Amino acid sequence: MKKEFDREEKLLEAIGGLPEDMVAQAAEYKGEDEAMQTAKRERKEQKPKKQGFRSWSYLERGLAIAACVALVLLGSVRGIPLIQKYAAGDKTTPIQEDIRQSAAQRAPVVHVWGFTEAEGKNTEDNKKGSETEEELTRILIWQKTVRLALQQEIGEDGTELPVLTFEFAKLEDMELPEGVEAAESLPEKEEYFLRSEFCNIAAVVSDGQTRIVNGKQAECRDGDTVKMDMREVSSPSLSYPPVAKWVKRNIDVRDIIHISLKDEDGEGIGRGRIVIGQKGENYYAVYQMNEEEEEGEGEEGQVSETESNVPIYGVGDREKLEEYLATLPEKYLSGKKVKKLGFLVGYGQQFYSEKQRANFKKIWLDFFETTKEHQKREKDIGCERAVVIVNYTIEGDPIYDYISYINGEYYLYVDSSRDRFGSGEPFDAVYEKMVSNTAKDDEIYYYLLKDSAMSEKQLKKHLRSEYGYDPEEIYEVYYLLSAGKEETVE
Amino acid sequence: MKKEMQDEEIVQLLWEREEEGLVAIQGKYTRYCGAVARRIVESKEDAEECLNDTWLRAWNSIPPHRPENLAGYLAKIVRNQALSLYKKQHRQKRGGGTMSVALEELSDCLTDGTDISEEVEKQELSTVITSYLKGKSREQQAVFIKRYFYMMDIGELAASLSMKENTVKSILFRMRKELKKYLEKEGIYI
Repeated sequence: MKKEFDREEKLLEAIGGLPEDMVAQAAEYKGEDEAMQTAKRERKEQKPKKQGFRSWSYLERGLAIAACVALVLLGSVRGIPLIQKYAAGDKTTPIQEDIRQSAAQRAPVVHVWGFTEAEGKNTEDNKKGSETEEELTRILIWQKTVRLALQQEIGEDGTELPVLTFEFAKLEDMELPEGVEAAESLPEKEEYFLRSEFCNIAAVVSDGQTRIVNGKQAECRDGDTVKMDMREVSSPSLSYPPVAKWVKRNIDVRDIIHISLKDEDGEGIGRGRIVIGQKGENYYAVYQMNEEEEEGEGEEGQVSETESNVPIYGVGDREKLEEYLATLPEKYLSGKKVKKLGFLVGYGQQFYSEKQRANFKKIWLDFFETTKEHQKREKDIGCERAVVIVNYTIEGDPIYDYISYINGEYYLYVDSSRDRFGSGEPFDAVYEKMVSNTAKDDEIYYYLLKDSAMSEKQLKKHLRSEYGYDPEEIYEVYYLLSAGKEETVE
Repeated sequence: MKKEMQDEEIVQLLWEREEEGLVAIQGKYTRYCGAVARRIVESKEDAEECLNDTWLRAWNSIPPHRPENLAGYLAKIVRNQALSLYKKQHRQKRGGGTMSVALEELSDCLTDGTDISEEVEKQELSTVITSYLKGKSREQQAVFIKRYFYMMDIGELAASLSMKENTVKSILFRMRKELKKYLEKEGIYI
């Protein structure tokens, strides 16, 4: 029988009467707006300025260490000083993004660098700055996207070779602009391992000597110049976009270069990665830093044990739970903090080291399997567990999902009070069962179900439905990448 | 390369009955309005028809109307044109596609136990929905409007906001339920 939709159509027509400004703004909205930028600026301004490297947090130290992985795009092979004056940069939030296109078209040099707060010269100043000689060298900071200029060189076989050229320079070699406070000097001659996922590293220039690589891996030291061969390679297949903001900008990922610092034993310690993107004829890059490895975490490659410090509250302890959640950090949690609290991270895992991600997986699987096993076989024996999952919004605000399991019942409480752009209203519900489901892209998703009788087929039907599902009935609580995918995206 | 004309200049040209304004509006907004039309009507030809009607209506309505937001103004015209065409074509039978799914979803917002004869002015309903949306975050507004005004399918909507599809579905689900309560609270019955 044909279903009538008269009333729905009326509603749809009424939606057509929304104010023009509102619908136009919604069309333009791409996940970030001026309000967010303002809030970020305010957040940055509110952050107390710290003096000296030792007083920095791990995150800031990480940024300073990222400074030793300064990336310089050279305009030509010879004749351009590696270190030039440049406009003042600032230490920014991970999300802030600045694509300074006009200057990039003639910019021979782009620096990626971490600085302490620049007095009187913030990002806005830089955006508005005139195209002076100083701006020919520009600064890239962690998670900032800048436009690069592709250079044409002559390859070994005499044909034209499109390259992007980066330099690894030391902070102490940089002539700091007025108002920019430098980090402490970094160790002499840091050595790096580079691993490119898709494009070939064409050559490394060290002390004027060119070493042809033509491969995916290379070693280099401070001051060396690395030339990336940007000839077409097959499109990278990634399980999730390494730079979320590039999706809406239609910037395709061309390459990911992983950077490891060589330690005393000659082993590599993950430091970060450069993601290279392309849109039409334009190239972009962003530097993403790994969380600094923590000392005393156990043997390399081993997953350290993490004692859960999460208190266990059920549905009847909501007030106590809210008191506990109110004590949790307001902003990004360092790897050390996450470990100390015994939490795991969901969305935003990519900002943590491989070892830390392995720990998250371990905590999660321990919770999932223990509670599942208890439901199956040991209901007569008491079992109480709890975990806290931190998910980051695109603005970097933490949302805490608290899940407890007390003798057969799961209790979920979602604290989104720190999400500056959400409703902030808490959500809580009780569920009878937790199940896993492997998606087409090999990611494993975990769902809390209100109705323990719901079959796998019924669950999949709900998940496939465009209509959506009620979070009180089905709640997607966590996800894990398959082992293979983890290797790909790091 | 010729610089794209600002909306104010286009509106001024239309206001002065200059055909150059019509050319400019087509050059700048064909893609944008075409996307809205194509999500509602089924064929390319129908979308073309909606677009032509849109330019004509814009030409006929400016003046006397002077839109402050040209993009929003055109979006509303093309959406109305496309919805009218859709309804005309589907008077006999209703097909699948984004429109039907969106209509199904909007059943969630309908208030119960009411008679359709209790006519609510469309304008009043629009005002209440606007008021509801004004209380939501920009992200929630964008999700709702992209889905039910611009008729984006879930995949396209999620990609446009760099969100997971499930997140979008979840936001929409909650908003539909909230809107229903809001309408009831405001004494709106449809």
